[in-house]
Amino acid sequence: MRTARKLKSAAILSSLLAAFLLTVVLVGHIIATVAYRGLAVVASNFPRVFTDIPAVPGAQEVGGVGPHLLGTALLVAIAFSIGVPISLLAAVFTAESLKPWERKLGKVTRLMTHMLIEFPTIVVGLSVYGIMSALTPYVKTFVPGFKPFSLLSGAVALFLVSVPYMYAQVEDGLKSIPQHVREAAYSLGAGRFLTSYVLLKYLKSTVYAALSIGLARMISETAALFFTAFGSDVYPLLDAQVLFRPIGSLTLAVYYFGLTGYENWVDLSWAASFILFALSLALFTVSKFLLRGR
Amino acid sequence: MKKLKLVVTISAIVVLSVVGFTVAQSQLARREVATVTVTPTPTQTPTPTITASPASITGGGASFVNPQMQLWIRRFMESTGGRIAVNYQSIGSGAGEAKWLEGALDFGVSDIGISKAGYQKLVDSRRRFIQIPIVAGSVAVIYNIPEFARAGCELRLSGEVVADIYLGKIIKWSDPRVAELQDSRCRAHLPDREIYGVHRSDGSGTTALFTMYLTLISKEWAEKVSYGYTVTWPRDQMGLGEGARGNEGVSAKVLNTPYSIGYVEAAYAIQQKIPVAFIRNREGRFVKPDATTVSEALKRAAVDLPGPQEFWGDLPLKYYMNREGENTYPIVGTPVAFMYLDAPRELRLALYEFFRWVLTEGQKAENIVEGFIPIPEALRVKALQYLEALISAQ
Amino acid sequence: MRRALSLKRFLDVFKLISITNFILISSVVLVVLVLFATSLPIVLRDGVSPLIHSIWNPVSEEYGFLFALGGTVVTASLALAISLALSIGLAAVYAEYIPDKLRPVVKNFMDLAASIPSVIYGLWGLKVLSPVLRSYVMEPLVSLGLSPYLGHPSPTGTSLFSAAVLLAVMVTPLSSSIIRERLVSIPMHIREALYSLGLMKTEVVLLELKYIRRSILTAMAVSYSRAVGETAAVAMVVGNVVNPYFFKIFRPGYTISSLIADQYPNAEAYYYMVPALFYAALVLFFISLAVNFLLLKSGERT
Repeated sequence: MRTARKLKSAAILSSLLAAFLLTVVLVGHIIATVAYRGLAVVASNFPRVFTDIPAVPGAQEVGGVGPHLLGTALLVAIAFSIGVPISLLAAVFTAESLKPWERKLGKVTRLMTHMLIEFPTIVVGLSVYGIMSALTPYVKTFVPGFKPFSLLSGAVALFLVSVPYMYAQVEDGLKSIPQHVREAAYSLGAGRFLTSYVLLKYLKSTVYAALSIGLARMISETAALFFTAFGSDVYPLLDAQVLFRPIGSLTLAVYYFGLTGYENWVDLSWAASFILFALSLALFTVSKFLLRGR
Repeated sequence: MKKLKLVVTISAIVVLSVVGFTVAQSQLARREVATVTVTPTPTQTPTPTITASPASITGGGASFVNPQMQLWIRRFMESTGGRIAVNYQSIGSGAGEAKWLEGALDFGVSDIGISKAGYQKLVDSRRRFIQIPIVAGSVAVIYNIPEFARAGCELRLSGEVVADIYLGKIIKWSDPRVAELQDSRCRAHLPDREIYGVHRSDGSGTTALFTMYLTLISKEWAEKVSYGYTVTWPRDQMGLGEGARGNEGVSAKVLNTPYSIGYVEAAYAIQQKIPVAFIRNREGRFVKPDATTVSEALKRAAVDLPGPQEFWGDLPLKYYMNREGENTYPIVGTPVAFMYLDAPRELRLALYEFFRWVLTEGQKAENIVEGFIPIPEALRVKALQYLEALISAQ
Repeated sequence: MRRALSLKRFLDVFKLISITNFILISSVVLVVLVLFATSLPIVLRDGVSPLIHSIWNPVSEEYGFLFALGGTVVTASLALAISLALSIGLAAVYAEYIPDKLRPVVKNFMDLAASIPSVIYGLWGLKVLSPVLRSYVMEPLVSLGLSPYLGHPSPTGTSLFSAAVLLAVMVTPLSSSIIRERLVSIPMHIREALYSLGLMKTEVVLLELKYIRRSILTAMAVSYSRAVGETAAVAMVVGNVVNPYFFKIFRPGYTISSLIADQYPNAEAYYYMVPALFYAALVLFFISLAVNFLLLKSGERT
């Protein structure tokens, strides 16, 4: 009896350990491959790989992913500045709603944003394209340069892809705040808006976590950008119209260059992967640093 | 303390990277090093008759021309000092056409010209536009027969036989209809094995050109399958065929599957040095796709090239394919660029300057990516003529 | 008093921020509307027949996407099963077996893995995982005579199976973190009570896992959503072939999102292909909602 139990226990333990080791090895291998293949390309083309445009296919040199790096920066900056206020405020409204209509609105918001997660991101991107191109004729009268393949469309797509995560995180955080904290704020005579502000400050680490999750999703999104940001392998003209011009991104560079047959472009794909990975690592480190209290 | 943990984590990742290093390296060692090189030659600055003001053009479409487009764009932007920024993305011929029709793109490129549906929309909206051929394209039939490789034999095929293979009517390589086409020395080396038919899984202009040719040659193919970016392959239903993504996928699958047959863009086959089959042309000669044989076909078609606003969707079928001439390769086409004549003047001038460059400097050997083939002089002159409409249009 | 007055004004500000909720709701509604409106033509023409056929023939404008639906369900379920095993193992070992000093290392490592862009997973899956799986897993199994059931692998190894494994590796860091957090937060008294029964450590761990099964279901729901919706990584490894025998997982196939990524570029050259692709996305959406609902509901009941 005892030995049977022991055997069973050993079997379970070893399978748990095997699962643990397998995951660590696989994930480690991904990171190692990207670091090795990507770093080799980045190092041998340093620092031009960050500024140059991609070399011609089949050439000896690889060129760089400058336009894509710039594109990712611009896309994420715009999506972030739309996404953060909207998701934070919407989460505050949902969590702190009191009246029936407010609660109902909050519930619908929660449901809707949750639904958004269930769409493949490519579909979100295609829908954004659909909306933007339907809007084009009307907007064009005011903004002549308006085009559906644009930095703006890409940023909107990134916003839609990342906002459910930021929203849910902050809202869950707000809901988990003990009622007495909330009451303490109210008893000081604070209104709901001010109370929410205090609560958000109280939840600082959750907010940071939400922002870093959102940022990570924006940096890593590919499929939603196919038909919105469109991609560009050259620098766009950086004038007033830049919002309405197509723009590249690092993820698009990984995808398109990785699937070609040209060695120098495949190398470029690894370089872009490495830069993307380094960005995620940096973001990760910063967020860990900000969240060190937790 | 926390900082220490972070340091530990990061160093652990670095250590893991080093562990994975050896594994990654073994992966790398298997990788073949490409020998494709393009020697950059300084281009002479063209003297365009008209200089456009700074502009940015966005185009998209066929993925086949993408490498060539990127090279052109680099060289063109060098020659104009970046005054005109051109952005081309390989989103596929169908999307290139549709997004251009929707006004999202300044120009579109399609492997086979604007489709019927798209052309109807253009006619209905009464928009004025032009189409121009920009480079030559052709489809190569590739194969993998170990016995042939060992004996130093090269495969010969005819359009009818290729159609019947993909229709599933010819099952084995040893079929007498395949055998009778071969060199007498090689006939005996044809193995008694089932042919594995590989094709593109993703929608592609290459498939469209290939199936157009089969449609032209075989009545049965025309009735049962017809042509398009994606078709249903009869051989798949017999378990003797399979799709693969992209030219890379098809060639990898053919190279790795003994007794298989496939088709890829000739440019790709030439670059990657994949065994290419001879195809019997109209005069009964067996030819492979290369700069001469493809140009031969297109040169003859130049006379018949319809006007820039006509329907070009079946151009290869009607004019390019299976042309007369002893040294003519039968499966050819031209990627087509299209743009609006009623676009704003600055945009038209920028487009004019770019495509004029493409049709003059861009067709010179030093500005052509290995494997690609410039369009013949006769066609080029005609295209330049069509392009003039961009300036004269009001 | 003055302070209270200015706070009154803020009260209105709170109502004002409901605008953000309206923005969110209306953007989601717009997305869903576009999806419905775009797929309408094929729904009107074919009804539910695309759901039960595997014929993808644009030339004759026939679009049955059962193969992609099946491919999605098969890859996502398999990925879920693999990832469940991996993430439970990972979380249990993390919470119970490894020394305290190592924990932050493992935790940070897995959290970092969760933040790697999926397209990087895709590149790795294409260039490393698929060939390895083909040589070391698929070929041996096929040589055991399993190919009638599992299908014959393609030369490059891209297959529904490779996609499932890749998805499993991709979602494990996230799902294990959910289980892990819950596991370490089990109250001490429960843990002690379990040990006081004279149970062995593994038995305690199993009981603890049973105790937190709701979180495990949540983790599964999250994983399923990610697995079903993933596009770029899957499109790189799934093989992209119309495969009516989608249960033969060693063969290449399609998932709905990879079908969209693969076919959309030329879809607009046809009349009904774009509607068909959006219809497929819509069906997928309803399946995801149903699966989520089921997983979360069964989580609540237990």
